[in-house]
Amino acid sequence: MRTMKLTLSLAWAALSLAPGAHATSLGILNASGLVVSSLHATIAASTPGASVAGPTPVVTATAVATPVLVPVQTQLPGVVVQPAPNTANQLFWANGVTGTPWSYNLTLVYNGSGGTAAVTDTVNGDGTVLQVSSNGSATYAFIEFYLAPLPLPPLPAQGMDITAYYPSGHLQFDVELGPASDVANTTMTIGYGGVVSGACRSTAIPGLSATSFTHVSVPMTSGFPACNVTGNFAMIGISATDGSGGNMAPGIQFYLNNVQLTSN
Amino acid sequence: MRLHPNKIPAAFALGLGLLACHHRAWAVPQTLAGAAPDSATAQALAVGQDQPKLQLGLGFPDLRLRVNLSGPVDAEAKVALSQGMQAYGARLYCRVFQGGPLGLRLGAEAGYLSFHDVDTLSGNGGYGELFLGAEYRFLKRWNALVDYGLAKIDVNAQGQSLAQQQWVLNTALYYTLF
Repeated sequence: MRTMKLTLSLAWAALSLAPGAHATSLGILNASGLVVSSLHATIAASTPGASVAGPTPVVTATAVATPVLVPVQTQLPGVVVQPAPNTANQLFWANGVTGTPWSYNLTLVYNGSGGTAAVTDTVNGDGTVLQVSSNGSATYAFIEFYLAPLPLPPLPAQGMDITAYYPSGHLQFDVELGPASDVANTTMTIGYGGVVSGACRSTAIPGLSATSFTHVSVPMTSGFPACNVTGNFAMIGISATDGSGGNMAPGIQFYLNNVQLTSN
Repeated sequence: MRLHPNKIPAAFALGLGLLACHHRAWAVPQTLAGAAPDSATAQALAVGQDQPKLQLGLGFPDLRLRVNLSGPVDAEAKVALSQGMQAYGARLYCRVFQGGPLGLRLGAEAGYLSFHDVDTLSGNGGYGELFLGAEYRFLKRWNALVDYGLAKIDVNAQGQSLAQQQWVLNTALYYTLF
């Protein structure tokens, strides 16, 4: 028993002498992933305009001739630095062009298939939209916009919350269901961080149509429940599901355009 | 292999610890010589007898192979793999206390890290950890281990490096081969 007490005392003393230690990780891989993330943030913060994806310092609109770099947010131990909130709208996809929100190169991932389609967005007149189709008899399809090349790293939740990111912002896009869709029973959901089917899923979007585009604008403070982002790569996901129970219609399809995150 | 000057105190401390651990294995039988007969199993476990010689472990998320080196000292090879990151490590355990099926473990781990496309970075690194753990034998051949320790992790990528301390909680199940 005396040995055990001595051991515990020594261990406690050693642990107490550990300045700067971060939050507990489960396993050495998680812990190492956090250190790599910190290194990534360090490199990105110390190299303005570097090619590494990450918290690129934001150049203010008045500083085109002589760029003034806005410092990135203070990095908390074990928390990945996010891109600093700014007043610019961040475009994800519009009229055949994939955006570069916060200067990231986007990776588009489909559950099913996707690509451009020559369909007119009846909201703004754009002639090219993004088509997302389910696989065969699947009754759902979704698209996710990742801010990084795949595969994504297996990092733990970082505590990034879009409601704190753009506190008065909106996720906006135009959407139309495909011509063969089961309009009455199809619901669409959107999410930020994590997969569409995960905890970050928003409430369903009403008022969909298979004949014209609907403009959707979801306020982050109400449409997105607070959630943690898994990994260092924020993304949005847009999903359509046929929810008619036993009569779920296969082959769901929808069109998207003008997908953007706005600061107000 | 040359030892970096910064690592010498840690290596010295580790060697001293193992020496003390091993020394204790010889001292305990004398201490327990007069113990009650019904605690014979606990005595045997405490002094390193009736100990598994070779164990296969499944951690979260890693694979381990642990051998009994001498007395209360065990050595372990450990491989942890996940998408984009790998860790290859070795552990040394000292069984500092054993009360029936429950034991207290003090140990150290060191290893090599390799990562690819993690936060867009690829590189390598190393880590060292001191930990304290508890191990419980819940079946004749099955043990569960939980340990908690402070790791110093050093990673390198794109010509830059970063060292940080991280608290690490490890869990594993062990199956005794013999």
